[in-house]
Amino acid sequence: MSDPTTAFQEKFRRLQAEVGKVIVGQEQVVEDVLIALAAHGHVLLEGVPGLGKTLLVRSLAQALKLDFSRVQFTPDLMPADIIGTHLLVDDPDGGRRLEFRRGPVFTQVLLADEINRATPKTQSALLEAMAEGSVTTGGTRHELPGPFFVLATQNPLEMEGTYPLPEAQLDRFFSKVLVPFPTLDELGGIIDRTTGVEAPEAQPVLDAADLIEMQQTVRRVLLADPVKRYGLSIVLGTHPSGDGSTAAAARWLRYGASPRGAQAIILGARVRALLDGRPQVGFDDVEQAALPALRHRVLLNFEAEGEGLSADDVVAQVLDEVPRPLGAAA
Amino acid sequence: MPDHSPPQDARLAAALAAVGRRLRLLRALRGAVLGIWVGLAVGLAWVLAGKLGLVGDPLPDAWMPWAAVLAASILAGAAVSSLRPLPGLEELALLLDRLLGTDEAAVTAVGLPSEDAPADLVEALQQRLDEGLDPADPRIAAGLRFVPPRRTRLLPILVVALVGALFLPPLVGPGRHAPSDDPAAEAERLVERRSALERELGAELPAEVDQAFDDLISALRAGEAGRERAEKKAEELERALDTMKKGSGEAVAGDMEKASEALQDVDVEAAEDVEDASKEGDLEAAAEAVERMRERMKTRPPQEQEKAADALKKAAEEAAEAGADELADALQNEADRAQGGESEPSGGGGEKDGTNPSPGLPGESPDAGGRPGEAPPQGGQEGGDGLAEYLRDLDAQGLGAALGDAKTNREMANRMQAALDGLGQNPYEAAEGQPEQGRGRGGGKGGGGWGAGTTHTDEDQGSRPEGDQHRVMNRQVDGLHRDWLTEYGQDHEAKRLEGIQAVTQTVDVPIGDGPVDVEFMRRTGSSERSAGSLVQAPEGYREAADEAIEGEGVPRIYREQVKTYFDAIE
Repeated sequence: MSDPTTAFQEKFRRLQAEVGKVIVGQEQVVEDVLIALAAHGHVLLEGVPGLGKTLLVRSLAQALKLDFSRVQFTPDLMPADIIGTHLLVDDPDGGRRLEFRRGPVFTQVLLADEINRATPKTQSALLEAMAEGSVTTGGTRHELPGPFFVLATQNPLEMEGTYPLPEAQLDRFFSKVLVPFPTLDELGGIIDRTTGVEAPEAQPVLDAADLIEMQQTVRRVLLADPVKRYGLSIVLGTHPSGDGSTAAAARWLRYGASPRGAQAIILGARVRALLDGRPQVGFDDVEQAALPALRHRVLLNFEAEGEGLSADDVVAQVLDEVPRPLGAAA
Repeated sequence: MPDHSPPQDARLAAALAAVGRRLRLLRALRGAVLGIWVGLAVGLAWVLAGKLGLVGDPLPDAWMPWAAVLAASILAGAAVSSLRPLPGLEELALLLDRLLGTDEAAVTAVGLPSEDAPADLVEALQQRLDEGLDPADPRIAAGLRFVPPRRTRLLPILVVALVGALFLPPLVGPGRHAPSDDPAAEAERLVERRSALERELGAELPAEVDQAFDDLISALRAGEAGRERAEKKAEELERALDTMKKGSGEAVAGDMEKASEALQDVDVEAAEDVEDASKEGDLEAAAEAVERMRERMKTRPPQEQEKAADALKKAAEEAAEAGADELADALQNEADRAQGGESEPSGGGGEKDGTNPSPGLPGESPDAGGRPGEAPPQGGQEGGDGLAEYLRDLDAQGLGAALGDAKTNREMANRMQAALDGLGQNPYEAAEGQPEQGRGRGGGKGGGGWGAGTTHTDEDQGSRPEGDQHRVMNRQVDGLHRDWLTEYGQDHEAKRLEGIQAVTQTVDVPIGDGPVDVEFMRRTGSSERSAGSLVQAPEGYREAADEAIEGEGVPRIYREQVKTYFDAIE
């Protein structure tokens, strides 16, 4: 019997290498996005314009040989511009009927570019699609093609002309990945690759079936009870009050993570265990999966913002506070 | 926590068993260390108790029992700790994972469901576990290190304290403590103890106590009483002595009051001095005050001396009726001296310096010239002891301190009674029943009952109005001028008043321009203390503001402004 962990690792690394041909540096960003895809989760990429977010998503679609659509979110974008609309069309027999014209959401990889430039109403048009993989319009439910991923990019909220994403929308993203500014060497590499005669393009290395198989492997990874309890304790630790609350949460947070946060932590930990060649999840996997899964699910209070703390800072404090079950003391 | 069955893999089971054995051993070690800690603590307590004379044989003389206690502590600690039930398989597996660095493989293996586990992944897990697991691997045994209990960090301090205590000299003398089992030695110790009591008292012990000591000492010397009985009896005697001293103090306090009252009609200055001295418990000062009175008495006209003597005689009679015979004698003698002062130029036996007047004239008083059988006063004067001598005699018995205590107790009792009397009285009843109550008594003052206010005071008129209502009003208004500081304190001793009745009555009084409106306020509800007095309110506001700022999590940059805002409210 072949080791499923090895097969998973091999596919994952192949995909990572292919995307790496196009994207200079940003290894951690690429890995985090691929982990989300392997866990069948949507990703929110945050970074200033020009860091290659759109290129990353497009390259990923190309490497996976998946359908790809891109929607540029603007303040005047309407929900129908994403989902689709009913058009009055003439029948060949002379009559007229309403026909649903599918929007760009009917794809496998949807790039919601600069999603925080649209109004919350338009942002919320993606809620059903992200949660259930379907769209309902005019009383009719339309299934989206699988596997379906939303990879959204957003500019930091400090920039003008942006709308913060609603909490319900944020909660549907598996993880939030911060795209840092490239280093000097990485910047040089970008210039070399993009100002030459030929720009590199990602080639298909996996297909949808491979991706689905990877996702199924992820869900079978073994998870011990103490490890699961540790992950759940972290989620409870983000709540400012109640059982399991931590001092950091009580001081800096207004709201904690939802159960979707716990799902994201466990799934992310499972993927990381496979990437490490292990069939079982360890405490380290849970801890590493916690930050990208929780940073957009906790809401800072006024004091934390006044102190200039970020969600990452507070989640890190929570992780420090939640103890690992390390066995009976001697 | 789910119940885990023993793992199927024999290697994993053996490794878990090895961890369990190691854990038990370490626990036994920890228990033994705790036992040492307890044994040393017992030893230290033993040494200190020996130095205080609380145990008969202190360390290091009694090292055998202590060594037995130490050994028992170690054994008990080790046994109890090692017999504690081991943690479950899951806990042991977590420990194993931590020791081997197997990334929770062991705990996953022991928690695997028997069915529905993906076979390929379980096989991969088993392979991984096999790589890390080797029951013979010394890492499993050696990985678990001994961690001493936290409180045993004090062990070196305990050892140093124990050794240091061994070199301490005895903290108490052998006279009072460290009784021996030898009755003869105990008898000698009792003799010393009696002497110490007499020195402390400044006088001989009362006859009955002295006799009891004698009996006890004799019994000990004859071997008829043991050490414990002697100790117990001696303590009983000391308690009896204390009780006698306290009783004497009460009696002397009563005598001093009588003496002070008697002197009021004789010499006001002496009366005040005696009262002050008795408050201080200074009988010598009281005696000196009486002597100064004698000096002044000699310079007064004969009529006044006669009058003073009469007053003293009257006081002597009253004291005799009250059962204070010795005081009565002293007052009678003092009366005789007062009369002797008048007749000093012609009296027999009197000295010219006049420090001691001659005894009274024969036939004037049955006690004149001193009591039969008593030695004449110093300076060769005739006559019995006067008040000054009586006071000095009391002082010699060591009753000055007891007098002070008794005075204090009595004053406190009086104040409490006054406070109780002032609660809940109706001014009409008070006016009729207690028209001349002293300070601190009467309705309208204190915490409850009635209060009254008016626009005039009888002092304006310079005369006292007649009638009950006038007396009530007068007393209330008087109160306003008595002690404003006390009034302020009482008013600001915040009380919540519930159910107030106000009754306005017009009182026809011959003062000022005519009728005066007097408003009586009556609290019908029960009093209830507020959480704090008014003077505490500003501080309370400040604390509330600080708590609000802390609780709301105001960013640091805005805190100053928020504080300023609360200060403005305050």
